[in-house]
Amino acid sequence: MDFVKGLFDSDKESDSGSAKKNRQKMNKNFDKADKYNSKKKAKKDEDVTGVPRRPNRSNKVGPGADVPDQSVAMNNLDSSEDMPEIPMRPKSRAVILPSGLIIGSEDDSSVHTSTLSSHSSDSFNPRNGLPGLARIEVEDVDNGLVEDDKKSSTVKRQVRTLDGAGRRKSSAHFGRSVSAPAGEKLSLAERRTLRRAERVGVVEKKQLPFFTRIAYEFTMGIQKTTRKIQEGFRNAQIWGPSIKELEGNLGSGVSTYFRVLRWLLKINVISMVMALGLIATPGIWMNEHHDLPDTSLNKDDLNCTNPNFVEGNDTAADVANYILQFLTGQGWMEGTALYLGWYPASNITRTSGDTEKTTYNFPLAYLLVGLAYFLVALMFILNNIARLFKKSAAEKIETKTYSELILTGWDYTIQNKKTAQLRSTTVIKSLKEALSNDAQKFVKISFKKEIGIIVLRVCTNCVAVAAMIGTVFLYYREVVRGTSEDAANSTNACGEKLETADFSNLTDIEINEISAELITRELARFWSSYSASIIVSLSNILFPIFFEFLGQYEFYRFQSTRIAITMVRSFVMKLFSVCVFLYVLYQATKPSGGIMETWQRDNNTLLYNCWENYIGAQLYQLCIIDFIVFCTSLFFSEVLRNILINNIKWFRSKVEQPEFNIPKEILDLCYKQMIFWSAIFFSPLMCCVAVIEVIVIFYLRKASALRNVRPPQKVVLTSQSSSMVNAVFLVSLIFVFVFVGLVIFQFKPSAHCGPFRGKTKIHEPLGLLIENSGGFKTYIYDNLKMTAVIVSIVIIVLLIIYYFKSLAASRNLTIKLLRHQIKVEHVDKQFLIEHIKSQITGKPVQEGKKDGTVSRMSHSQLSGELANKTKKNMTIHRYANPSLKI
Amino acid sequence: MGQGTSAYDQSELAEFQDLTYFTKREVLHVHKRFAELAPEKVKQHGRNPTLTKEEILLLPELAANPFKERILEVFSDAGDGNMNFEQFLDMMSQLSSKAPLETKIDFAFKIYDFNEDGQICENDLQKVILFLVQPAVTGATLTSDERNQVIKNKSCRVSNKKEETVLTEKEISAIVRNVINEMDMDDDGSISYLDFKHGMSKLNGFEESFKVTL
Repeated sequence: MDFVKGLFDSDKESDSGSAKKNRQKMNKNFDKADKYNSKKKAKKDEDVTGVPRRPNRSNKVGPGADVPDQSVAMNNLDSSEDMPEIPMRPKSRAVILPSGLIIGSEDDSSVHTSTLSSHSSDSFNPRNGLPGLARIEVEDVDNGLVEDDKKSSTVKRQVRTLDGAGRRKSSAHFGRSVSAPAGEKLSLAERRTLRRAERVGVVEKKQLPFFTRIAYEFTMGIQKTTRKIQEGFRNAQIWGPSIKELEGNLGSGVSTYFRVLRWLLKINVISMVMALGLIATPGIWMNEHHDLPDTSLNKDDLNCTNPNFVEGNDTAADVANYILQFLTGQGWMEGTALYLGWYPASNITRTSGDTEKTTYNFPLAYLLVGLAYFLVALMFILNNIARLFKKSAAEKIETKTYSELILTGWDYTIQNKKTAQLRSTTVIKSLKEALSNDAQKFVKISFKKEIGIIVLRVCTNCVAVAAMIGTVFLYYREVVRGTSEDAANSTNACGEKLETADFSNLTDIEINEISAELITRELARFWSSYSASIIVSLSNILFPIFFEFLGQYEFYRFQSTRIAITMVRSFVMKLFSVCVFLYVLYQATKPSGGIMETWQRDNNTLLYNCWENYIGAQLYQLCIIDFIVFCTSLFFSEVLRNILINNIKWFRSKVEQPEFNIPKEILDLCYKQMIFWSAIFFSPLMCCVAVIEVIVIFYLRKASALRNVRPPQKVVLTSQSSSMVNAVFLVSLIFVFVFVGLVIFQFKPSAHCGPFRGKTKIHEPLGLLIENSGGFKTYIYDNLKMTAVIVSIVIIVLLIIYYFKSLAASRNLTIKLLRHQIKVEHVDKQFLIEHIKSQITGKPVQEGKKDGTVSRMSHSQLSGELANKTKKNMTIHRYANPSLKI
Repeated sequence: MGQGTSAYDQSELAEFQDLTYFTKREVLHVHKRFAELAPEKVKQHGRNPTLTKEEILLLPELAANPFKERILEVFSDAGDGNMNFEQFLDMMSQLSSKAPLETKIDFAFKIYDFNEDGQICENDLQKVILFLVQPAVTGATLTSDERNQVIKNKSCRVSNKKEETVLTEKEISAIVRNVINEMDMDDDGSISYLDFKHGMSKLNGFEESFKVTL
């Protein structure tokens, strides 16, 4: 399934996109210079923006793809060089129709028509020309009338070269095709000659006025540098060869998954740089220099979450402890920079004379960076969404199933014969499916059957929802139990500290006994503290399979519906599981009435000295467990399965080679990213974990995909699905943000740890900053807190969205009309061609037809102009949106 | 003129850079790949030898592509698939991911316009389908003789294949009709270049899949 077709590759594409723009700009500059030169050279010359002269070689491809339907005849008639034997009016080659319409013909293969009165050449730039009636230029008419002597034609050629070469290189997209048909291509050698001629022109730029030249050189310099920088970026594209290899073996659909991974890597690397640069480094520096009173940290405060961490003499127990604690993220891990609790609460200050000046407000920095992670991620997602939205809002996307399968069906990136075969089979299957879908549309299902199916679907949906709720309840209970068990243990934890410290006085045997006991206890604890994460991770693996199974018995008419429904269910499930996890954490740690708080009040002891660390540790656990589950499932479902299939005959007949399920895998990535996002505030170094994990996943997946997996069976290329992926990431981000926001605005920070110790709320530093900075900002801040303001902002945003939606709708109507006009225009064109033919051969045109055209002419010109505008719009679109890939 | 593979100096490379969508480094890479196809010829004829179609088809990037011969024919000057380095570079540049959509559409149009009359008509589409399904039918790509055979018989049924991987003639013509319905804007029963251009720019996935990276 080509799922995210196109999205996440943005970098490369937009790079190349802007490179295109750049080149184009350059060409414009060339044009300017050329215009200047050419004015000097030949006043009578035709427009500088003329088309590259068509080489006169016997072309293998039909010459006139410009107006290809009829223009073959037309071109041949027009160009005296091509077909000299056709009797044409020898000198003046412009045909003036009775309606005042002039058809000028150049030795270019394009046709120029014009009404002398209505257009000036300036307002009608051929570059924006439109498919249809060709371009209209007054100059051309003159030109057509002027005798074509050889001298002027050489000059002309030279002038054209400049533009022609530049334009071609610049990517030819603009209206070039209007005048230069598809068949018209200059070979590289020809272009080189042109370019050399162009070089001559460049030398002559010294003739330009001083200031013009300076401006010209300045802009050229800037453009060249930006281009170089962009190229540098493009060359630095990571994983390019890997992705190419995957593309070659599994098709461009699968490579999308890896592009999403690369995209995530970018987000995480940026977060990592922020975390390391702005939080970790200053934090470490300040903790090293803890001469300041409140930075000194009591290690015990941090370690309290793990009751059983004992610094005994026994190495085995130690090692086991270390490993277990590494996996649970508790114990010694809690005394490290991994978690929020470790960071100092002071500012970096500089004393100059008597006054002490704060140079780095650490708590504020921590808070702002914590929010900046989300901002970065949001920007990345919105960037993608905006690009897609521009495309889809401009025109309602029609589904062209068959064209898509036939004309874009072949994936040119495929290099592997087996994949080629599979691709081909896939295309055939999809074609058959499309045909049967078409047939299905006309099949009536009996009322009874329909009722049956509806009842069945209601049942399956109930089952799905019940299963979800069941799981959610299960791990809600697990977490609650885990917390209260922790609570029970924690008397040992904080209370027993003194007792455990006595270990050094015991004999060796006793120590061994105790440490053995400790290990079993640790294992039991391992389960109790991990059970929640394990349930979450397992449900994430099992539920998609279950949903897929369920989907098979729901009799969906179209396979695509089934896949979509399965996807939505899986996503809801994943979202649910993370949200419940977060909700439970919130419940456990919330300041008033929370589980922990109640327990603490009842027992009159502190359960966790540092709840921030507790949240961080839970999420760290979840992340680690999820990664382990990912590796195991990868091993069993792909590696082992493939080995068995390859080596055991019985297996081969029963089980198929695993298929790369792109949407499922991408959802999985989204889930992982969601955990990172929620953990990042509580443990800044989680972004390093995230970066490492993304890299490891990339290589594991790549290795497995190249060996064990076959490409997906279905070609589904819908832009809806790509926007769906973005939506999925956006929704996850919002949910996580709500959680973090609640924590920031509602929780009281722990008294003894973290940069916010001693404050009433985490967001306090920000509030202080704003209050100190002046009245107006305070006013804004105070008002922002009001619900009414937020609600009204939301309403305004909704209104804006509504406005754009209706704009898009009205545009669609215009497009419909324009489309109709294109059809009408086509009829016009045919008439014109016939008319010209009759002029040449001397046969009169049938009267009736002629009248029809004259009256239609104005209409067609109108439509031409309109279509021209749309064309412009569309081009702009393509620019704004250069990467329909990712 | 040159001997050896990297015989292009900076100014020539800069020229290539301006004339193609490649950077200098990429031009050199393409040249290296080109030279590897027929090292003997490069030794004999310098850096810009003309390779035959068969030699160019050795490229692994093209090997699995059912349209490979067609691509070369469209891109070679004489239409026979033989090309020298500059033509090759030009081709790769237009197939590269940096080429603009419109160039690619031009290119694709020429590939699919088998009879080269400036329109994609029913026959052309039928051929496209036959080419497209060909790897599934034969398991690999065909030699040109076999391909002609397939095209002549208008059938992609091969005895040892299961029914589900085969399109019947009826299905093919239904598909062709559907494609023309979807793409033909001016109602003339075939896809003109403008129809094609308009339609293709609306299709997803074309830009991503229509590229060959060396």
